Amino acid sequence: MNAPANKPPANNGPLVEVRGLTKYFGKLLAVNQVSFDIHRGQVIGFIGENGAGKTTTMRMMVSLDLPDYGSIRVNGYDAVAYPNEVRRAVGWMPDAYGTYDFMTVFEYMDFFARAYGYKGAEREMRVREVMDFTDLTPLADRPMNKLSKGMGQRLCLGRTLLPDPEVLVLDEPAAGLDPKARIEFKNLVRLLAAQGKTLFISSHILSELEQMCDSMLFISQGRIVHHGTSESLKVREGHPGVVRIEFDGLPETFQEWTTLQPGLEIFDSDKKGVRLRMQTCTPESRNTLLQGMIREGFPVCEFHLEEVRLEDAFVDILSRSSQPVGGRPVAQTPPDLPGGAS
Amino acid sequence: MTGDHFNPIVVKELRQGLKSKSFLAAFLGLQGLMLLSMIIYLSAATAGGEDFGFSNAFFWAMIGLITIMLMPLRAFSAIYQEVKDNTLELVFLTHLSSWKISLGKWLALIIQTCLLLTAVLPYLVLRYFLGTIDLTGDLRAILFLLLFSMLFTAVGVGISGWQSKLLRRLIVFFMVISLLNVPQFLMFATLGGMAGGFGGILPALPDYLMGIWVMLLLMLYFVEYGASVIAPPAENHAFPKRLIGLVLVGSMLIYGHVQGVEWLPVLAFVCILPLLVDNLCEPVMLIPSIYNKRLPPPGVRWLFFPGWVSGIFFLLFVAAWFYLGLRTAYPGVSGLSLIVVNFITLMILPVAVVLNINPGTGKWKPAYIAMQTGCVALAGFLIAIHSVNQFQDVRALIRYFPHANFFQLFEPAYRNDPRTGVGVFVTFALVSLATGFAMRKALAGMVRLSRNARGHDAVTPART
Repeated sequence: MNAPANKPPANNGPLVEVRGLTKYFGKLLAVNQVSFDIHRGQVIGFIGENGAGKTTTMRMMVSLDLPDYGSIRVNGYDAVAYPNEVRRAVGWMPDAYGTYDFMTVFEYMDFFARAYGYKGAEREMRVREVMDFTDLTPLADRPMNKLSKGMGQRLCLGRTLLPDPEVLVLDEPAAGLDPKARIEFKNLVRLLAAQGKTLFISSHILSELEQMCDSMLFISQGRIVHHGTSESLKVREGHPGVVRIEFDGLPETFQEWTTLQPGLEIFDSDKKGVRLRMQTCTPESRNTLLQGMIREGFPVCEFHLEEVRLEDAFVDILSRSSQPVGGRPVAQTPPDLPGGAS
Repeated sequence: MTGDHFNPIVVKELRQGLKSKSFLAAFLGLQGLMLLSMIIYLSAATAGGEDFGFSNAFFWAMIGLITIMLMPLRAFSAIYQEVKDNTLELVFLTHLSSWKISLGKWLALIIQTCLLLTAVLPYLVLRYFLGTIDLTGDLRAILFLLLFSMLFTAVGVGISGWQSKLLRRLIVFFMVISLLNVPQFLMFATLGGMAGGFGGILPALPDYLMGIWVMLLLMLYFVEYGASVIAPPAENHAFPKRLIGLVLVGSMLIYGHVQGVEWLPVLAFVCILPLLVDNLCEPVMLIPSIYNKRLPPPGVRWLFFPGWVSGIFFLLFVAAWFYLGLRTAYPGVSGLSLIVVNFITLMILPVAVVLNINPGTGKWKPAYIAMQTGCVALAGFLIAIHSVNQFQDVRALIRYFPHANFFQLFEPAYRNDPRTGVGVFVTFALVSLATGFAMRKALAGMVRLSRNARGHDAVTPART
């Protein structure tokens, strides 16, 4: 497709802008009014259980699927109206990719370099450069259907990097990899992030995403249920939290006192102290708790909020997201398509 | 690393294709068959006879088998195989357009067929030295076979994008059944007295050239059709497809008129029928960028927007053109307007019925094809009942049923019966009204976008 007659204005805003994205498969609502922004240089983790709508959202972002409602703009271009412009800006690495028969790793990379418009020496240089970066050079002559999962993932990442896209959308890039391959892959992603690439990565290995990402998007049943940094996810004021309290000798009456306080529960204790779960964990509630213990004369010598593990936070968010949320806009019905889209 | 100017798909397909078992089998098989043919030829020559008929027939039948049947059959999985292997989407994300992908697939297969045919040339020369062969005629015949091979390969590539396994298998089945006759045809044609070779049965040069032109346009159409199946919805492939269709029909009608070939309008109709069906099966995409592209002037551009709505306008335009073509070809025949009006009704009947009952159908193309198939079956049933029992009620019903009318209208007595005219026009009026009702929403959207589209303002991909 040619460039649009009237090019979008210079885009100083987000690199990717997703608004009210909704997708039905038949009557199944797969993605429900998803909205978020991705700014240049950001590394965003996209987390959700199987069937939450991660891959569908990503496929719409790279213009491979059509949304039923809502819009996606990449670099100011609408993904539906200008798919070719969007495809030039985005590199897509699917969770599974097919192999070509009778083709070596080098031939595969060479084909895609040609398809991305590289010619002559420039193509050869780019292919070598990417193969070196992804450590594929020793595998250049190996038939691509004889690669291990980890090698295949590196090849797929290499192909994605060939056109030097502004934003990389990686769907479960570490899925199925052994620990060594996973570390290698993680290092590659870190290198890309260090180069200033914008990355949007889905994964179910939360600890890995935590180390790589600036920000995280949690999706459940097609809806975004949390968007923020991993720190903000763990310190969720107003929600349940765990405080560690150590005493100069654990008072015998402490357990009894706790049962009389609303919203408090001891779920772990040792000879030094306890871990106390607070139903509502705000600075005020923690202050009230500490003052109450001092008033009672408990010999508190340490009191701190425990860091929430990302997995726990994820499970907590998922359990809350399954409850009805007041005021959330109701998604539209499946689109009425006179003439049908075949 | 060479071949920068080649389509990358051609390079990739050749890298794969030339190593594939099917190509190697075809190559070695053809060599074996050619050797066998030469042995038969040598036997005839050493026997001192002048009758090279059987060896000629065998020679051409085997070339036909490989080029017109085996190689095009490989095309039927060209695009679908990549969809199945999950490799095509990655190619979509490159700078290759859907047209280049489809064209590359087709060219790669044609190059492989050419390689096979090139390997046959030494045998052709050998035959020339052994007998009384018209070498230029044979070369022309090889070119003709190659053109047919290219056409069937283009049909295969076009259809290979279909996701419905059932439809693809049905088409392949019918193609194989039809193409199985080709070697036999070539064999019997050459046996029928053409001791000088297959070149002797080719048509006169103007018809030959016209045939080449029509085949080239059909190839272009089917390759473009393959591209349209895999293209993003924002691309307007209706424009090139319909333009090719108009050039094709125009050429055939004009040539038929100039050369006085009466049946050419009918052949033109057969050639354009797949396009008309394809147009009516397309969904309407209300994407502003489609309506923002450089298209012909307002008015004419309504023939070229993608989707069934403009497909109806295109059908009306082509039908009017056909009417003029038929009038010119058959000046003394009355009731031609009935044939044309009935054809329009027949084509848009599923639009009037399905899109009013279930406007949100997500399976519009299968619904269209299923309804047309059902109507044809019902028409056959009604005609069969009438031909056996001569029920007048059934006859009256047939007059209001466009599919049953389609064949009956070629009978002058039936066509000239005033009751038939009433039936055809009343059905046309009712179906047109219902179609107008079904298209109102989509048409309103198209009008709005064609007036106000501003390219990047596209926000919501309303599909109607």
